[in-house]
Amino acid sequence: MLSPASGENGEDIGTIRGEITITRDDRDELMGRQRITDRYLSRSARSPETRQPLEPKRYTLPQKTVIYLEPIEPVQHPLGSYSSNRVILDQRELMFYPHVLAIQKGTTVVFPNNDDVFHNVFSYSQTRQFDLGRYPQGQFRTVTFDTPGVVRIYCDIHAHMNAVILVLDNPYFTTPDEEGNYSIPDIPAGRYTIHFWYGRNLVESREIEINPGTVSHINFIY
Amino acid sequence: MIRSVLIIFILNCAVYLPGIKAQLDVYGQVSPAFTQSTDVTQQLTTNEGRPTFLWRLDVLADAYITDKVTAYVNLRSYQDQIINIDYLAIRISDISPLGLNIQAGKFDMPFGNLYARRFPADNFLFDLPLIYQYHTVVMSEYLFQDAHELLQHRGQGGSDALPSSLSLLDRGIYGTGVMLFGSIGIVDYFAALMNGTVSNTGSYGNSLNVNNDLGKLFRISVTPFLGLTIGGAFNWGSYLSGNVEGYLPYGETANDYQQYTGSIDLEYSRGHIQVFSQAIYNNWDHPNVNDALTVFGYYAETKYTFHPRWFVAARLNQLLFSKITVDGMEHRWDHNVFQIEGGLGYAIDRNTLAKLVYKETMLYETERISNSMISLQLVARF
Repeated sequence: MLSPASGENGEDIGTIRGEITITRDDRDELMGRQRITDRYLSRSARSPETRQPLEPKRYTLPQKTVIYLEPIEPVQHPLGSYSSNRVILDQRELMFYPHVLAIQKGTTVVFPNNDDVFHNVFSYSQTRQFDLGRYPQGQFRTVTFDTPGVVRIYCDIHAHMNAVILVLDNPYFTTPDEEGNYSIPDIPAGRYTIHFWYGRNLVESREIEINPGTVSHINFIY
Repeated sequence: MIRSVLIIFILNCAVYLPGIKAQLDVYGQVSPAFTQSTDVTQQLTTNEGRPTFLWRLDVLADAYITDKVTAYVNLRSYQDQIINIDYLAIRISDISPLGLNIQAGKFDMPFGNLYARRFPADNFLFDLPLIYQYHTVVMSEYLFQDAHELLQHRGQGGSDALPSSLSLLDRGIYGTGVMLFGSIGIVDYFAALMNGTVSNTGSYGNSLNVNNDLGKLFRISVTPFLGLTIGGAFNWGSYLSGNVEGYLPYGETANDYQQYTGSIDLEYSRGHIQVFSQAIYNNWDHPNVNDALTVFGYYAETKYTFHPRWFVAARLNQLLFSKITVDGMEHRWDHNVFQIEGGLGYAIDRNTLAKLVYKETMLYETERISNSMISLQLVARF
């Protein structure tokens, strides 16, 4: 559905707004307990608590949802297609935060350890393979992602810890707020595929057209 | 198999009883392997040196009954399709202001730092360290008549001729008993009472105590900084079966012959390196040998991840047996053993690992016997 754009950025750009509605009680991202670590892991690796709380933690909607665009035809990106930013993928309470992190290619991701145990971040994804080794609380390691694609992140010590980094070719991506509302402004006019990534999976993709000076409303229900 | 399924089923039912807010996690590992060892008659030869495919299955279940009560079960099976229940325990956590925990049932006794390396996915190599595997000539169910007979059987531990021969540490030391444990600052402490001793847990027979004594086990470990843990443990108790009491000197019982085992261990990890080491000193009192039967054993192993997906590992093992005096001459009461292992690992994906491991075992003193083994193992976690 199209409506008049606010006109804040001229004639050749448009905006997407929408709402994410989650109807299912997906369990794949439930913060599983340490499993084998409860019984067997050494002090350097296990939680200082003897056991994990009964109720597993859940990620919030903004921590696990990304909406992003992929141009079907080549377009000029006024904001550039390469980033030199640094963003954080945190490790605390034996979890990665956020669960899904979207970055532009060229971005350096900082992996701080904010737990009082070792973590060992690694990925075997073809987009970017790395193994950061074990490092303690207060230290961090960095990885620069130059190739677009999906990078699945794990901790070699705590098997339940996982996250996804979406390395994107352009800056047209966002996360929704707690209520599920999202907005991607300043999109060059053209044809795109809009992707809805939730948790560990790409849930839905649609072809859309961005017309100059308009706001497109695109909702997703999962 | 049926009894194992029943255990999982009962746990499953228990955690879904009305009013009980609980969860059951079931997970495990599958690990087929190919192995071939040289055809030398000793206990570490696999299937008489024939090229052989093997497999191992581990199924673990954690039932979170309440915030403070957890039930744990491990099942393990090999190609012989016998189901071993390694772990069947209830843990009650945080039962005092000091954060004391109690665990009862069958579980890994806190003696050393083997931890999850009991399992193929976490073991950098193929087998457990030598101190957990190698059977000496000392037996729990049979008494050598004198030192001469003992010396005649040196190097035959683990064979059909010595069916109840003891290793220093009984495989994964899954013992049956009760344990109190907790932490104070950088110190972890454990105190346990168990059936048998670390050499003779009785856990792979009928799991009952084999004599009138209970094994006593204490462990304390210190973690001065993250990555380094140094531990010490001590275990003592009767190791002989009550079945041999008819052959003991008049008036004595199995309880008069004790096993004393002390251990120190070290764990260090940082970056892409992990190091584990354990040294133990063990003494068996034997009714028919005047000298104490002592053994010093150790292992040191390391793993280095040199590239994403790839690691190399190595382990050095040695067992050194004391000398006893027979007819005025000194003899080691069993052959010293030296073993080196090297491995290359490749993570096919996050939960699937391939390992190629080479192992060379040497027995030496009167004659040098060497045995080599090569193993290729796949491990998948589920």
